[in-house]
Amino acid sequence: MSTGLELVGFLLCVGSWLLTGASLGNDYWKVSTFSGSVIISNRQYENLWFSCAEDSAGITNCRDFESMLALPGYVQACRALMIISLLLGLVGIIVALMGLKCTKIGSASDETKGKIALSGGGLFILSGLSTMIAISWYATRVVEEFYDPFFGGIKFELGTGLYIGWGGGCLAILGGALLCCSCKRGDGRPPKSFYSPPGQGEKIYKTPLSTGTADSRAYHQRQFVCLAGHYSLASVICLRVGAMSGQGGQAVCPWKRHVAEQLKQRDRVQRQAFEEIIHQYNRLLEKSDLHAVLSERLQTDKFDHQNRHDLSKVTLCVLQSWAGRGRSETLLQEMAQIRIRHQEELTELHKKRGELAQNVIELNNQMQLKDKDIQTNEAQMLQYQRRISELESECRDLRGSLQDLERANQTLKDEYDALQITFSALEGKLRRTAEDNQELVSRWMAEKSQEANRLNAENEKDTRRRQAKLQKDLAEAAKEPLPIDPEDDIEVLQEDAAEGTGDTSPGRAISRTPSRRATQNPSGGLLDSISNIFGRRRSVSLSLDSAEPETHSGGCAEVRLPTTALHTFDAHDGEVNAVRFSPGSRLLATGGTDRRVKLWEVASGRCQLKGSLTGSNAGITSIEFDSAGSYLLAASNDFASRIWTVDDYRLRHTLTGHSGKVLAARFMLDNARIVSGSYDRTLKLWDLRSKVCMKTVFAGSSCNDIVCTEQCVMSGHFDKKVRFWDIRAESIVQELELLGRVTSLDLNHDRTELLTCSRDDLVKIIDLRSNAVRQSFSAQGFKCGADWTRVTFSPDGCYVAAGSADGTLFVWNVLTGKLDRALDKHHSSAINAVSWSPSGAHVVSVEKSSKAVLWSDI
Amino acid sequence: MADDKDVLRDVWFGRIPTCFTLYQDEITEREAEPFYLLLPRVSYLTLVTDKVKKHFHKAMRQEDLEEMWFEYEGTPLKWHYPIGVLFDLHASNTALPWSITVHFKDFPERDLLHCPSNSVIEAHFMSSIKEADTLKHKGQVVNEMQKKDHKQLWMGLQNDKFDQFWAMNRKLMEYPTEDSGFRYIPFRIYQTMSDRPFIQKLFRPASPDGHTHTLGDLLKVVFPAAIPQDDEQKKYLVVVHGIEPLLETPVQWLSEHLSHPDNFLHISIIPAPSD
Repeated sequence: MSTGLELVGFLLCVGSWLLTGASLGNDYWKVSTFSGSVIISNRQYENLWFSCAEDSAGITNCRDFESMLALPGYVQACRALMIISLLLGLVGIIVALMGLKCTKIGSASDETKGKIALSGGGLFILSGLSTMIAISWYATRVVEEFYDPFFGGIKFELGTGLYIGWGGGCLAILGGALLCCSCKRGDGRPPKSFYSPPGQGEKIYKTPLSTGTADSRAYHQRQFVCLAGHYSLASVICLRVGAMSGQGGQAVCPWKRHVAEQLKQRDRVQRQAFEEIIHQYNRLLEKSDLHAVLSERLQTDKFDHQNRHDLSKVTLCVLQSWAGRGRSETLLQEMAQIRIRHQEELTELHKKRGELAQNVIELNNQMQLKDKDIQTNEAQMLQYQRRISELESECRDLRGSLQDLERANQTLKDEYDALQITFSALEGKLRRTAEDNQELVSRWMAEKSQEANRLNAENEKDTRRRQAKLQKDLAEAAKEPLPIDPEDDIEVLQEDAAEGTGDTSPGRAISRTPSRRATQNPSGGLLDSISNIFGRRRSVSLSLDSAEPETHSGGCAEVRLPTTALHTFDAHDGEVNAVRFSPGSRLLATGGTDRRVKLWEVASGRCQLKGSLTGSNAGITSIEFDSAGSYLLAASNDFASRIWTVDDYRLRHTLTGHSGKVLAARFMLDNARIVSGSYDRTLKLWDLRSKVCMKTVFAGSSCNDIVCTEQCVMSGHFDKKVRFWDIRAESIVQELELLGRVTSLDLNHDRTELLTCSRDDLVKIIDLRSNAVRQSFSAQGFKCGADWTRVTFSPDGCYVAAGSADGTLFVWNVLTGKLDRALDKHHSSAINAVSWSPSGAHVVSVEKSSKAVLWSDI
Repeated sequence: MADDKDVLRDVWFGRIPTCFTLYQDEITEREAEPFYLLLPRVSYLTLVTDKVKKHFHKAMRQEDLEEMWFEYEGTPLKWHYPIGVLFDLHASNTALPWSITVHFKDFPERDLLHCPSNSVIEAHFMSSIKEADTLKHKGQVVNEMQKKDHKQLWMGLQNDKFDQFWAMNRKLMEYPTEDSGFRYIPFRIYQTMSDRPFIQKLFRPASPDGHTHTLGDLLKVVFPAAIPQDDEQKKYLVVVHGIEPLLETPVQWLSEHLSHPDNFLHISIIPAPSD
């Protein structure tokens, strides 16, 4: 039983030792916690020797604790304790192995083995305790740090190593306890025999003998029974009987005494009587044997021996006779002399010895000195070595820092290089830009001068013509013999003179024309008609920008506010999205979701269908005539814009390239280019001559409407912004943010004001010169119905017309800023678009259902 | 307890003065002197008679040497009985020293066992110990011992080392505290006039009611004739180790203290001298 227990204890101990070793070598003593941490891809862990970081890809970086002394005290202590524990365990295993009952190492008795096993167990308990202390200490630190609210570092959790260590410690203590226990059991079992090992036994037996009386002896016996834990049946009986009878111990067991006495008697008779005799007899026997042998040998050697004896005697006699021949005296003298000589020699040698001793002492002293020297030298060497190692470590540090600095320097240099490169690139760009700019400026200057020349030439021509006309008029007047009020003539002449002087500035001339007409109009139709003819001719021959204001200004006077619906008609099958008058005001174009553009002739207050333009694959979103009225441009939901000729209704071009619905398309003022804006958040510039896309601009937001001036394109966007683009550059010149998604844009006739409509139900006029909102129009009930609700200026720019979601047409007066008209009852659904005829006579509005309404003041 | 130890010592160191004489028919080269020796009572004849053998070999021709055997007054002495038993049984009434005749010829195959070497004695000794322990503890103690413990017992006996022997024999003499003694007492009763070599029976050291058995009880069961009647004169002597213990002596104590090294209590019953 105890052997098994012991073996189990020993195995536990071995196991614990292995566990402790495993724990010491384990990587995970503490593992960084994920609690309260956002980053869980990175994990850190530590043990007594190094700390590691592992990322989610499984790449681990470990760093040994390089300096032992820089470590926190508890880590050092834990290291020491763990190593002590392992050493103790190792010693314990060896000791316990020797102490196991089942092993035969050494020939120790059971008691000794028990003691050895006990000490082995003790060692294991110590080992286990030191493991437990180390592990628990470490764990306590980890837990304290975890719960410390002021702890700034990484928080850790208990790692596997700690648990293994605890297991090892517990096993070691358990195993040690089992070893001790088993030993104690083996030792503590009361022996049933009276016999005990001699050393112990004698002590026990002797003591009672020294006491005198039988009583006290019994008492002592009992005491010794108790003390030593040894007893036998016999002594128990003895004691029991003794206690009952009250007699002495020797009288108690007569049989025992009898046996003892009998034995003594027997020995006396049988042993002691014969011991000496037999001993002596044997000696005698041996002696006689020896003698027998000796005598035999003596007999054989006898003769030889005698011979040799005689010979030695003879030689001795001869020697004596030879010496006695009277030379004894001289011999004695010689001997004396020799003796004296020897004595002298001896004294000399003594002296020498003294000197040598002196030498030895001196040499010893010297040696001591040398030793001292050597010691000091060694000390110095040690010092120097220490110094060298210090310097080496310093050198290493410095080299390390130098490397760091070099690395830093390298990175700085790299950064500097990169910056240099970018700088040079930017510089090149700047230079190029500057050159461009220079070139543009020079071109511009050239253009300017050309223009100035042209203007000069024109003015000259004009004055010449005027003079010619004047002369002609004068000649006619001279021819006609009508009586004319001379004052009138003078007035005209004066004005002409004034005009002649003011001809240098064309702007003034242009701006003045309407006023002159206004003054001239009532006076008579002749000049008026002449000027009209001139205007027509000029519009054909001259560039558009000078012609158009002419026509507009021509219509300005005729702007009539719509008051009644002249004609209500079904324009399309389905929604009508766009409507536009031709520049001549005679034709009306509508576009709807039925994929057609229809042309209507406006005559005598009615609209008659003239034809429909087909070719689009999806609904029409926007319509525009070119300034001559010969081409019609329509944008479509099928990602394309198309151009038809108005006269023969033929599809001329299809401009594809957008990747979204094209929401707006406009001719540039030269009629040779087109700008289109799309739901795909780009604007594209098309060249009609080559029919290709010249430019694509990323606007950043879906474009709902576009208008153009000579160089500037304005686009209204879904992201509530109006963007101003220069078509030569791709960049935004300016941005203006409104409060709602911009649905529509329109320009007044002299392109100084921009009309916008946005989904915040406000119609605004933006002054293009100051780029600021000049006026805002709103009305009770006005509601912008869709992202493509179009609004319009009147041709003279004095009115603004817009359709509301409830089918009401609103007209505001720009001058007063007030609502002038609100025309309802004719539309049944939201008005999508409004167009004002360039003549100013008609307004047409189209709605979400198929209807269109033609309005006028009649 | 001091007594017990002394008893053990006395038992161990009991000696019998013996005079070995060569049988007169043996052919010798010269006159063979008788050889006197103190024989240990607890040992075996062949184990202690090396000197005797050597002594007589000197006087004999080498070619005549056969296995030595001993005889006393016409009775061949069985070497596998302890010497003390042989003496008590055969020669306790004669005058000392015990005179044993040494033979080198005519080995009595019918009466004696051959003893070619000490290992035979050792085997016999160990088997006796095992038998005794089987009786005492069902053989547990001796089986738990290791080979070297057995060796220690044997070497103790062979070299006459009391301490060495008893250090190990102590264990064989232990018994559980809750019992009053061994399971059975290993004993053998020898007598001269019987054909049976010895009597051996199962006998418990105490009666079932807890009464301790004595030597008298034992004899009553095994050999009632040995107990003298009140008026009668003693017919038999009950001898253990050359002494007559009182009949009141508990057998357990006797077994523990007066057993031979082979753990048996050898009791000789011899007729009382008639004078």
